[in-house]
Amino acid sequence: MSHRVLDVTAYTTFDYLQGGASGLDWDEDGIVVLNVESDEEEGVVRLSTELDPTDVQRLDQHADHVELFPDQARTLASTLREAADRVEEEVDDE
Amino acid sequence: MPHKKEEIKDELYGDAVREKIEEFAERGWDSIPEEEREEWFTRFKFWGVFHQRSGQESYFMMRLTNCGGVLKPDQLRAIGEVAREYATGPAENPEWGNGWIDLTTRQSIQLHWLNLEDIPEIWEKLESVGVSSRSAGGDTMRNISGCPVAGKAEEFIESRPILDEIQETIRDDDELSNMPRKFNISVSGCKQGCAQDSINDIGLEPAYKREDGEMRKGFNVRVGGGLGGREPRRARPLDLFIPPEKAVETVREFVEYYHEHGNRQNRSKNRARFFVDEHGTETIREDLNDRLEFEFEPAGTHFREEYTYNAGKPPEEGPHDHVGVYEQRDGLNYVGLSVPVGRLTAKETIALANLAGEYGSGEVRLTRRQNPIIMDVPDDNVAPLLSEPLLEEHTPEPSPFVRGAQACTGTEFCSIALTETKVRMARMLRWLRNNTDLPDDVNRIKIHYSGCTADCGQAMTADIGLQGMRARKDGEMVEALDVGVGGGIGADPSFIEWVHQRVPADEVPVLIKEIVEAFAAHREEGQTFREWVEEFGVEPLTDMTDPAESDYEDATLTDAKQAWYPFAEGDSPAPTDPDGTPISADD
Repeated sequence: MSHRVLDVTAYTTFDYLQGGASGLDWDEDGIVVLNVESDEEEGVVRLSTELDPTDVQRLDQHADHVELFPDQARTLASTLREAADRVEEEVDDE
Repeated sequence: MPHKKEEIKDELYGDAVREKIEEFAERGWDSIPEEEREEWFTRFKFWGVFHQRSGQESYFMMRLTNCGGVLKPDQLRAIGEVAREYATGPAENPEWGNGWIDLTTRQSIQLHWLNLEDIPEIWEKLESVGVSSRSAGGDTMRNISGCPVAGKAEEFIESRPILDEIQETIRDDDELSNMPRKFNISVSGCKQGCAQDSINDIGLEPAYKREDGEMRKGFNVRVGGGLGGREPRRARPLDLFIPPEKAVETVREFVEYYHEHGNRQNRSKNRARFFVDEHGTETIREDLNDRLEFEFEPAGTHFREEYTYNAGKPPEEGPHDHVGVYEQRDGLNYVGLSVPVGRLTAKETIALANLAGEYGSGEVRLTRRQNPIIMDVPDDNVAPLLSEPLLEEHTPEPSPFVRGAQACTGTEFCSIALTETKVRMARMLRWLRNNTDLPDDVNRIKIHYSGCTADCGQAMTADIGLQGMRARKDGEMVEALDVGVGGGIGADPSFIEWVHQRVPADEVPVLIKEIVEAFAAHREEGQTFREWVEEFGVEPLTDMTDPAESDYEDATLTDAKQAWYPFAEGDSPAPTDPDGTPISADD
């Protein structure tokens, strides 16, 4: 059975991103699904990613997740925002 | 902490919601305060009234209910008349125009583009012939599924009286209207497995015990089955045999048990299949044993090995579906039509109802494969019925692709879908019919299409399963499909494995053609698609097939969920008055 681990619907945060997986001496590129959801029961924000199972041969099909407390999620959000601003500034400077 | 939907339901749910819908309908769409819409739409679903997706504001879908797919004489005609009069929207569908019905995979019917203001009139018309929409959606018991020809065809054990009693005493009980999540019940009495108990929250399957030379008939009980993106499950056996007279109370007890103990906090993990994961079948059996007064006994001998319904077995072993002409046990016949992707125009619906009355008893039944059946046709009426234009269009002898096709609603109306489904599927079927040769002894290839991983189209259990996805093609995002093979129900349900993923939709027909041609070239004589996949394997199939463009033209390749209606140009007129006039946001 090889259905996707993560749900992919119109509510999924990103249904198509470029990404990949790396080991000590290997790299594979693939398409990634990324989802952010709030788990009210556990009091955490869960950020999950999954590479398309047919893209990566070295790994068994799986999804990864990281759990963030609300303040950690906000730190991540502001770090992302700052990084996005820097990328855009550099593009503008070119 | 309970989920916020629990608070909404706690305040008002179940039968009491009806009065509020009628009040809002009387006062018009605008009378629902904008900030309260979400909570009211959550409640409306219990009464089968679903607000359509973003861009289609003020329009509603209504899902009708029944028990085991039975529509009594006159019921289908009334539904067709309602579709003709009320189910018309501001844009036409390119295949079916305006005014049509959808037959669902749970033996139900859906009507789209209804105005809130018309709902009371629609109810009045439908209820005057005994059709209801109560308990069709939301966190409640959905259509109780059964063999659609129960009571008419050969059954090992009579299931109709049990189905009716479950409907009347359990599903109709307002005390049980607010479940933790939606809940599916199925009862099979036949040996074909067509109620698909393996994908229900509780399923009763026919079984027997042989003692002192006597055969005792009854059911084995299975719980916790379901499809759906995150972790589909086959229902698991409770190792419990029950006599038919204990069937209803056993189902009730499990419903109450889940009603009381099901998780009301985390909606991503609270379908009964997760409840069964969490508690385990042994504990559930013990708890049910404590709650029920009769003596429990271990499972009896079942017929799962004989199941033929969507089982991927050769045709000579028994029917896979209800398409075709079959003899009833009373000497009359039933005639199963094949309606591609389950959509009938209002005109066809009324014609079907009329034909059912003219050639049969008027009764029409609905299968779990989005198809209708005309019941009680005497031998002499079969040939003239088959020569009617409607049966030439939706013929009981369809092409193998059409016969095996089903599709969910897709982005046309569904807010969680990623792709359009029904028009694409209808057009792909035509292309496949005209461009693909199948061996003569292959009379069905089951292609099921779901617009996302929620899998309402049951892609997981198809010969060839398609799930909506997105991909990048020529620099832009396009609607794409994950394409998998090898699913099926029967004795040992299996789910598809992916052959290719994110295939741009316009390249899918060639891929399916190549998969089917590989099957034709490498199968042993008599081997079905599912049997072949199991033997041949998925990896070689991935290697030997490639998606490609062809003369197939895809209607919504680049829509990719952006438009208010996938087939319309320009801005949405919604929300509108019942006469279709846009309601200005400034008012």
